[in-house]
Amino acid sequence: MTVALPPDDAPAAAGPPPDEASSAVAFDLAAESPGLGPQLVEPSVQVYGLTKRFGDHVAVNNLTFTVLPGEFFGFLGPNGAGKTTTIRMLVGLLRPDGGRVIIAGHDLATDPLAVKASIGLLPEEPNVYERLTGREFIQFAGTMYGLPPDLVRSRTQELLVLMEMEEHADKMIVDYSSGMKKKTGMAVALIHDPRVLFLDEPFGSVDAVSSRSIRQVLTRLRERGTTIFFSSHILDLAERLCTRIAIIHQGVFRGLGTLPELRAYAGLGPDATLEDVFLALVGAPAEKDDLSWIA
Amino acid sequence: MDRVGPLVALKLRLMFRMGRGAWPVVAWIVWLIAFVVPLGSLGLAFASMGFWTLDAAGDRELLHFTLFGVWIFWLLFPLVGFSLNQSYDLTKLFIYPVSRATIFIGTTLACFLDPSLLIVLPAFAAIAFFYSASVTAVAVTVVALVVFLAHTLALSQAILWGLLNVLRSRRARDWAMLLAPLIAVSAYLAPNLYLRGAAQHDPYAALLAWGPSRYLCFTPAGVTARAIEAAASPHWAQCAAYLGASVGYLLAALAAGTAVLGRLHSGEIGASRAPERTRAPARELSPLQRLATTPVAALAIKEARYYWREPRYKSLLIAPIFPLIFVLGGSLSRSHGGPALSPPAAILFVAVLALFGFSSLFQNAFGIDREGLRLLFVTPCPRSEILVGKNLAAVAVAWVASTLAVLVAGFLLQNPSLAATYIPFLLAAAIVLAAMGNVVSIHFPIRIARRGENPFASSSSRGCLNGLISTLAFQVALLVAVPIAIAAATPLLLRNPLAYAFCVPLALVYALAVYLGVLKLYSAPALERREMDILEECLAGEPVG
Repeated sequence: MTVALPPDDAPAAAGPPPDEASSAVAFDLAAESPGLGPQLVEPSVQVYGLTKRFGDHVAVNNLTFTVLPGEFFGFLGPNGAGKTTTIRMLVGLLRPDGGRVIIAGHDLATDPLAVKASIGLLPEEPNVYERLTGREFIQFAGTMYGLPPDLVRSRTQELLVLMEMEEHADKMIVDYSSGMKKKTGMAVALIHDPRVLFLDEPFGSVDAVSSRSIRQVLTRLRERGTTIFFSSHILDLAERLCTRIAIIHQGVFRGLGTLPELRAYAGLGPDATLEDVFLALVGAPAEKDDLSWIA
Repeated sequence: MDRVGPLVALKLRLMFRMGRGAWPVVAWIVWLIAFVVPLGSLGLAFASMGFWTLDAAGDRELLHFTLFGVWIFWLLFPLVGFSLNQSYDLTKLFIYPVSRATIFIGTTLACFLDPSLLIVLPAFAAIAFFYSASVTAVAVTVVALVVFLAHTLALSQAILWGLLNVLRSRRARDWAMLLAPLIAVSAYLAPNLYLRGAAQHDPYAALLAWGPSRYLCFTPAGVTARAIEAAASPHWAQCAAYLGASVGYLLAALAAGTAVLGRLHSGEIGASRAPERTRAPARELSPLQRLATTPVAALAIKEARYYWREPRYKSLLIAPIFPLIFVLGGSLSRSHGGPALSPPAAILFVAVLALFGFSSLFQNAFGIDREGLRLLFVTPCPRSEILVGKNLAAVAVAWVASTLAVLVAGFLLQNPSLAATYIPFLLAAAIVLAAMGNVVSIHFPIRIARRGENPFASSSSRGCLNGLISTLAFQVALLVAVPIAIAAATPLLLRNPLAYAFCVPLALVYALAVYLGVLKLYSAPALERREMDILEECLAGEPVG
């Protein structure tokens, strides 16, 4: 796979995608991941010309990309780059001004409920009902995803154990720390075993023990084919976990590919870290002037 | 001490800006009209009328009572306001290299500029005016009142800081949220009830019979009152003694405040939050959890839990009390020869007003979900089921509460059997309200302020327009409910129990038909189309990136 970049003069307003793009696009996954053998695989996430404006500000500008099943797709960018806006559009919580989104083979515009049945979402600020207890909230979410009651109960218990939340499971979420809220949100994102997981800063405020458990679960999920769409500022973690990375800045892609591809595109050597690549691609100045009083 | 100015400025900024949204000036004007003017006028009217009409002995009782009322009000009111206004939380200042004395003086000085003081100043002005025997007496009175006020503000601060752990707890915040609407309504009702009582009874008779000066003479209010009385007499030696005592109280309050601030600074207070009550992990499923097997049931149960646990919703449960007060007032008027509604009309009036009290449950079904709304809309649950789940809980709560209100009104009007006949029709009316409320919820969602934002302030982005929309929508719902009213009136007019047996199912079938028709033909498809707009409206101001 090559590094994909939009042209510098990409149009702000993306029109509807061409007809040929509207059919589910199949990729030769064997070429992408030789270990998986020859097969045609439908991408989990297909995005064409996604655009969002807030007044005159173009937050997301004509993004086009695909994510394959079993990919750990890193979606990185500086603050205000358009990451959260993009994720909200991909999961159907924010109306795009242009473009098309197909998740797990379902068009978000025409079949939103089928898309929502296929995805799990952990937003940066967890979508919690603060006046429910952790256990009540996870069970509520499981029921809303249509799981049978017995499965809801057993999975809730497993998730509470995994997240090390058993002791606090019957306290109201309003009394939780931010890390506990994040873990509750993660449990809700996982309870229905989604095909595509959207995680926006999943490890923020989470303690090291739970963080490791969550990483292990995510790795196992990816191995069995779950697509993980991962947004984070923690570049070390992204470097370790992600199979492919997109770097977005000011609403447009600055780079998309595997880490070696991004290194090559940025003109950096094989020892360059993701942080080096990131800084090079978003155009951060090499050095800034020191503060005037630190001479 | 050169940092006192910035501290005063900081506290004033926080006081003026806290939770008052995009229209701070309008919000302050509304606050002044809603709280300060009624309560200030009440204090002024009570003090002025008393000083004008009572004899010297009565004036003494009134003076003691007024000052004691101010003292108690000012010690208690900030306790309610603490969780709503971060300007009360001093601990954030401790990271700066500012002395305790500076923090203390800056905070107390800023309290003198708190606009809430306008509530008590009219009563103080009445005292200064009626005890103006001479220029010297006025000057002494003003000094005594300033010392008294300084003592009250300092003591209030000391109590706030001492209770910091409790006040920062979630339970205290919840209680403050619950008390806010009660205080708002009381601010309106108290002057009205006072004026009504003043017209029919002598409001000062009970005060004179109680004789507060006997019990309060050595309190801060008492010594201040005695100093003012002595200045008016004039007995300067006594006046000096009482003023000295008043200054002593001020110094004691300052010492207490400094001591508490010291403990706060050293971490003895406020280092950790008050422990929340925790329950043992639930091993058995609760009865509610056993019922939550479908999305509709799970959502209805979630809503019911929220009604009970969310203080904003809990405060709605007291809504039916107010129409009852009106009915009680109507009964009193009748007993004094005034016009009054007939029992059937009065009970109907209570029913309509009680249901109107629950309008926000029906007409803003999504606002209270706040961040949870994203989970709701990211699930694949059919949107019609989301509406039904929410409506089930709202209808149940509104029906039960309005039924209780109507039954109480029936007992008050000595016609409980008539009230009981309204019960099934209330259910039908609540179902129609839910049907019409869904339309409003979908097209005019209202952002509910986050926890910690000022509940006195408007929580909506559209301000007064929401009130207009809500009232119009309720009136439309009443029009749609006219057949239910006819069904309710028919058995009364015909005086035939068989008609009742026929009209009740008819009304319920009509209500269900309206509900399902609106739901299937309009509300559910409209919700599918507008859920992203609802999110934008209800989560306005949330971070995006």
